[in-house]
Amino acid sequence: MTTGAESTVTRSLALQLDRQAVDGARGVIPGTPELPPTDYPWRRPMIEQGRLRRLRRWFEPNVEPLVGEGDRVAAGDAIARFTRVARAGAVDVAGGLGVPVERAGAFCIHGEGEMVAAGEVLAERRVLGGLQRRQLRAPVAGHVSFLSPQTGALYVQPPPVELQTIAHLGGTVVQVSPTGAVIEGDALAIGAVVGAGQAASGTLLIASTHHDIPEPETAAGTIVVCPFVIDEGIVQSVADAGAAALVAAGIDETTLTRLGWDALLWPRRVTGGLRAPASPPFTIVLLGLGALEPPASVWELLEPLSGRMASALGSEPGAAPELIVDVSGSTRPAGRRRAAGASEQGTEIKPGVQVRVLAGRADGLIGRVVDVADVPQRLASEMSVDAAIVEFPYQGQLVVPLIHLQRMPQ
Amino acid sequence: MAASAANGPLIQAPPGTGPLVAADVGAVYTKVYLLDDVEGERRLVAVGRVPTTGDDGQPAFGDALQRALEQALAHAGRPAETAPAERIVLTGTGAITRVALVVPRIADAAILAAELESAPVRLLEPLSLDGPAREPEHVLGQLEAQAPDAIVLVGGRAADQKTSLGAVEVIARGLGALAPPLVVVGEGGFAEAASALLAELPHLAADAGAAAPALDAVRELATSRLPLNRLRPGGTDQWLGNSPAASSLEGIRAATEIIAERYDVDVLTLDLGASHALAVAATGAGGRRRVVTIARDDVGSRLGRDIVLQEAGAEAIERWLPIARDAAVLWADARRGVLTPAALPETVDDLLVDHAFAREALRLLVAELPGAHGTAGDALPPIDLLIGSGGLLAGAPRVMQSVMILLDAVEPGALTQLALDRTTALPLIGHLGAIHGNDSIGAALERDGLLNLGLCIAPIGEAREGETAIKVEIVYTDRSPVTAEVPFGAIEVVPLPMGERASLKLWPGKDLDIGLGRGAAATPRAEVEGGAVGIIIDARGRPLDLPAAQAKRRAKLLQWLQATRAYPQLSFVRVQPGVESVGAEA
Repeated sequence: MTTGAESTVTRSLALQLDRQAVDGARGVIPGTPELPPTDYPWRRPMIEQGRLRRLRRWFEPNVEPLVGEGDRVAAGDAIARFTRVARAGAVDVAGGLGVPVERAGAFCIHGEGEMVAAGEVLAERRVLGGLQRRQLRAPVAGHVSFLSPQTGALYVQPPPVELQTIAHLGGTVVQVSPTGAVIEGDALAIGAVVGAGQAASGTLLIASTHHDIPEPETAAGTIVVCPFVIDEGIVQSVADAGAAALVAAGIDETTLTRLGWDALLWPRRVTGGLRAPASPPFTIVLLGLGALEPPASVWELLEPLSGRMASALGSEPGAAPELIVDVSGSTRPAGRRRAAGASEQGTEIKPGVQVRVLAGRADGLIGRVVDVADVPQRLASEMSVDAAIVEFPYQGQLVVPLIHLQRMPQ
Repeated sequence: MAASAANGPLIQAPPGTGPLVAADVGAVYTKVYLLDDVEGERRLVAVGRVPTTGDDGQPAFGDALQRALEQALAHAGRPAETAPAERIVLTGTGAITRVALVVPRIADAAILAAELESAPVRLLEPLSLDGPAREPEHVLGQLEAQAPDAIVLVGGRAADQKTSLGAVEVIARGLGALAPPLVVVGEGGFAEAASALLAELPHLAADAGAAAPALDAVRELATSRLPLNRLRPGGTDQWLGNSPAASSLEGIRAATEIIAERYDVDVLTLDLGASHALAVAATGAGGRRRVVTIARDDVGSRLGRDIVLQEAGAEAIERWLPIARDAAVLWADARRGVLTPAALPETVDDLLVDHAFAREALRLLVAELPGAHGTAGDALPPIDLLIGSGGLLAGAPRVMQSVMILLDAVEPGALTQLALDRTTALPLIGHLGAIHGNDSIGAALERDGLLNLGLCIAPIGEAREGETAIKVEIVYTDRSPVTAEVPFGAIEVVPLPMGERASLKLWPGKDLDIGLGRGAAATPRAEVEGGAVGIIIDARGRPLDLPAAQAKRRAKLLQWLQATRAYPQLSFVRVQPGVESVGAEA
């Protein structure tokens, strides 16, 4: 671009980019080649079916893998375990009892290493000739880990909590590394837009209407799928039923606000180990939001799979929210089941493929790509972007930025 | 790449002059810059930009770097094997460290905050050990609630050091392995004693005798905790090599300082990324220049819109819109911004909403500057040059849109030069200057990155609507002078193309001040240099007071946006009965 003798102020790249934006096409800059349309996320299709692979990552430092290469696992099987510690509770014995630091130990009832219950008396001092007692109680259950001779503070360390990572995808473990495991299996995966909570496995239950939320005796530990926008009542019913996860078409905005789930679904940032991320009552997976509702074909695919094992992943570091349903040994007609390998259909947006629009004026619509423009297209906003011409039923054709498109099954 | 490295040049260029590939990995987009030697000067020749995320919506750093490089090479019309071997990686992802301050007395917090003021970190509410934080459980509870990325603990005076060491022990015993990295600063053996208590926990001990012990340590910590350095994700090895990724926000800080030094001007840079916002003010005379930084990791052009709504309120966003958008719609937009952070505005309405959020995000940032800077009341430090940076400002279809966002966010008074980091290369320019010396940043490279927008003339004060706010005579070098009379409440642009120069004469209204007092005329000694926009005469008043009535306010906004041609032709168009909308006219 800037290679010749014209190194004047008018040949700066900043100025060129400015002109490019104004002129609305890259081709106006002499010598600029046309580019492959790569500036869009290579999104997974919303629906994948067939032989799938999932990398289950672990980020904790003390993870113990429980599987090896070649092992068969079900979606709910633990494939790794690790422990998580909480901070210790501190009690200022010297300050609290009003005794010198060096004498604080003499008033402690429990010594280092002893177990105490939450609220149990840790230290006591009798004053006024025994008429009054000052007591200090344990803020948490755990063991007395330290009594400071410098400050007179006593620490109670809660026991570590053992946690597990489940397979999420049932199948064969094909790779195990210090940072995760790769599992391969036959499944149907439905990509979600957002979720909260770790992967949870259970039997798939479809609640066709608001009145179909199962009772606790049938819903406990299941993955409840609601092909409609859920409200507070549904959330309460699913919580009461003891379901492991709730997968829904979307959530009512008022409910979102009332439940305060903005912070849950879109946590501000990944906090350090000091504060665990907010945890929902069950795993939540939303396949749509607002105008972006999942297409009917999702429910058509899921409906006959009711009763199969499934896993819903809301939010885990390094994993996208999704619902996975085990289809191994499926006896459904071949015509309705995608052949193995179909999940490798690719993410490329090209003429003929069906796409879903994730943002913008055609938000939520499903259409078919008619053409992918060779040169950037200028939108009504005057943004110049790589775009596709998409045909929508009853809507005609629209120019849609590639970055707004997600490929759908044919 | 390998071939290029193996067949390297026989004569090595001196540091800071040869071909270079630099990357800036952001939360949403990864950019790769191609720099090359052009007529003896290092110039920015191409930029590639791709989303940072992979097909599952998760960060795919290595893949993004490779694709952005391919795009930059394609832009430059060069084959892949010609990619320069020298590489630099900057990143804004995770670059804002949230720092908890534990101090023996509240006065120590002010001293510590002053030392850290130039670092792009977020300082959390200090825990003073002479208050409730003398209770160990209070210290632990507060730190747990703040969830900082780092803790700076100060020993303080000799009499306070026992208390401070007690706090070190509380953190070590109470948080244990959960404790974020600590920086302990003190004199007379405090740091050593604290180190002994912290034992195996990650910490840096700094002697208070050093020039800026906490600042250096915090910078070191911030670099080490950048996700790219901590995780070294797959595909990044050939990029990171033996050099860790550097903070792009530090790059912006350095660039602001370099520009302030080079031109001896007071500079304010506002950087609005997809998931962060940063303000850097470099003010004062050479040698005694002060740099103050405000950084927020919870506010951005796409992510963190909900925080803007929470803190500023929906009305604050709405007031910048000449179209109807109620709170519910804005909240829905904020949530969708998180789901599709790389989404682009398709319509003018969408663009206006993006820009309204940007104004308020930057205003939140700017509002913190006077407090951090210590200037009286709400007054900003003096500014000669206002620089806009970040994807939203750089990618605005018309530069006038960026100008309006900057003016509305900062409300600069009197005369202010405006510039735009159109190539988003400002962090790189700063980084190169910091490692190779300011002289390595040639004027050409600076020009490649920064686009001179023009001069803003904004009379300070209020007058009656329609009354002449300012008369400006523009004397060109090669044509007849032009005189513009701008009424109060209006904004006008007088073109002065890039490369042209002109001298100015200014006569403000009797109640208005252009820098020399109310009603005092001014004739700037230096000639004005032309820019991408020209001379902007902003007579809307300082402070900028938007009409309270909705209809009047929208009409006013339309008037300003039309006068400046910031957006395509706008008008009130009733597309449906009862629904008010604005769109691009055919």
